[in-house]
Amino acid sequence: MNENLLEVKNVSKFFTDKTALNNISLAVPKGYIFGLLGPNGAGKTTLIRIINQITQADIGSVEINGELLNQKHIRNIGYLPEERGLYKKLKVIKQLEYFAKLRGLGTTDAILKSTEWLKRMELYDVRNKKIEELSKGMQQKVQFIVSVLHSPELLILDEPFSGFDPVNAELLTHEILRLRANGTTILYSTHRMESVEKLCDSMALIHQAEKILDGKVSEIRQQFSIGNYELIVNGNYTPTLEHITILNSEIKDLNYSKLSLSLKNISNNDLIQDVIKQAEVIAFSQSIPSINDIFIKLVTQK
Amino acid sequence: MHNILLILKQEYLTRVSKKSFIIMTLLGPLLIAAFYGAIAFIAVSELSNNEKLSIAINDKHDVLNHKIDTSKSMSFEFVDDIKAAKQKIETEDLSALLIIENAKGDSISTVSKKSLSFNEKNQLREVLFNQIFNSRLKNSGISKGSIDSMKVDIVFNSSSLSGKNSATETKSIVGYIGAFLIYLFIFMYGVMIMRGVTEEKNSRIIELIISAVKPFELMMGKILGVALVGLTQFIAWIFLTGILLTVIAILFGLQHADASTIASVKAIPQSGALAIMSNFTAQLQSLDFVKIIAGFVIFFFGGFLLYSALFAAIGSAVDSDTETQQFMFPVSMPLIFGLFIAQMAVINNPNSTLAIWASMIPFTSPVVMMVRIPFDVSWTQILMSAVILFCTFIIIVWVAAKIYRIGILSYGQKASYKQIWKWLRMKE
Repeated sequence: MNENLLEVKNVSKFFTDKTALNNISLAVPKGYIFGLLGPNGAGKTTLIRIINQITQADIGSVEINGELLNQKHIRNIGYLPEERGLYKKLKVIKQLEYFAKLRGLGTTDAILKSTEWLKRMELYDVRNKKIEELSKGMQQKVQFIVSVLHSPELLILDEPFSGFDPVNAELLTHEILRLRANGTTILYSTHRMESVEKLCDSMALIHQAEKILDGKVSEIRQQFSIGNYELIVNGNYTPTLEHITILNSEIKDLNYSKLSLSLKNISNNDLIQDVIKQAEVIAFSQSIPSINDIFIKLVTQK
Repeated sequence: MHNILLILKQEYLTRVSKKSFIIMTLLGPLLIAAFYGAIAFIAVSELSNNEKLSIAINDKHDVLNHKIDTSKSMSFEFVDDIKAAKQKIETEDLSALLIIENAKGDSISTVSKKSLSFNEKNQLREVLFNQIFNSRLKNSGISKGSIDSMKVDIVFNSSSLSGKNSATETKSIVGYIGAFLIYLFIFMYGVMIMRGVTEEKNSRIIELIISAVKPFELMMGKILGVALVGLTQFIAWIFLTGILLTVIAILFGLQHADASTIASVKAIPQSGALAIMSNFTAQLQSLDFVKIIAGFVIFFFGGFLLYSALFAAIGSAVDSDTETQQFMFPVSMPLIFGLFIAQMAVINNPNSTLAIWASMIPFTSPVVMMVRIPFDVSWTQILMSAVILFCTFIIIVWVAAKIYRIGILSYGQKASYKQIWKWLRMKE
């Protein structure tokens, strides 16, 4: 088990008319990409703002590397806010230098790092252009560079893919994975569930100010998949055991049928044995729900 | 502190390198110089370009005894034939014809091709008056010498206890210019800060910045940065205006007025504008410039910081420029009121109770004290006012920072006084 880079302990935040966060605890292991999921208004942004020290928690605490969050951690955190914003009239390179210095880099380092990242993100040729002269996609890339310039230990990405075309989204994915490989811990807040499966190691789901789920992505999917299987057979199959329920069946081309089954208290082998008496098995697999399914299920349940 | 400096530098460099700043900085002195130059030009051309007027006088009642002094700009001849004289006017051999209608000499008709200017009429009146007066004196047996000896020429050599010569008009002008500049800069740059804050808020850069620095640091960095921009522009203006005015002065032969030039200029009565200008230049040198400049810097900065903190708070509370109106009014009222009192003080009494109080109250003091400083206000009063101003500034900054801190992250809510009051009472 990795040691935790970020720990959120029993954090609550109240606004005058509502509770934004209710007793939230999270542990983000070092070097993980941690998905912070939740519908709009769940409290994700408030939690991110607390970690960024933009606002304070009313109850609870946040620790980084086991140390209570303080001013000097600004140097260790990179932040890509959901609402993007840069100085429109400022040149790309000047912009990067300024933000790097605000995060504690010296002038030389700031220039060095800016140049390095501009080259990496294919923006070096436009370094002397003003932000307003760039395309939306380029602006997004500049914004991303701002968040990683100072080589933060913890990178907070709030909807990083919004506004990216597929090519640049691929470039960004690549960079995020490269950063993780270099040891950066990433807190990734999003609604885009398919990217969670692709990127995240762990995740937490926040809904209506409360954490309703957390854990490793693979374990969560496993946990929600209990007893559901997918079977494709050549011919017709009617269960003879009462432990088998057909949830859904559709006739494919030729004589194939695709069945969704749920099993109770019997093994997969029992099912197969029951099937082969009646039809030929073409394919059999455990159906693992997508994070999207889990998300919708949990959020609509509540 | 490091962050404040960083933001200060950024604000300063961005704003100073803007085209609009550079244009304003160059245009200001040019306008002043053009204005000054125009006056100087008129004054000098009045002096040199005037051709001599040749004037015919028809004096059938012999009021003038056929005697009249020709002056530098006018020559006279006596004529009897009005018709011939009129013809000469037509051919421009004569500039004008004066017909003295009665024996008393108080009714005079003039005939000219171009109508005589106000100035020319005045000079004529003076010449005629002197001639008639002198000839009547002579007739009644009083010598001109004995009359002259009875006249007293009063000269005010006013001085205050500090021993400096005082020239009230000059002081008023200097004080008022200083006060007006403070007023102008507070408004111009205060609004600039307000816009900047609203812009950062609207473009959502704010979230990124305050994840790196404290809102207070951001606000202070901005205010101080813009204050320095204002000061830079101001110094550039003084410097450029100085150079331009010197060039103009040399061009028109208006040397730095020492006593002799003033005297020589005074000796030519028709050069009104020129005389005033030279006089002003000379009197300027008698002012206590150390005090005035120190006062200007203190009250410029103090006033600017105080008001820009308020402007920054307004900028943070609103979502757009149009919403600022309701807050702008109460904030700018005291400043406008201050300028009003400053004007009163200049005209009436710079040491009246109202003026003294207004120069102590922090919201009006930057403007009002500036007007009063050239009138030998004691250092004690200046320092007291400055201390009050800076203490108030600290309190206002604290309040403004509170509004700012919450305001910059509040979107979509219509800003109102009630809302702001709620923010003020919110805990950290």
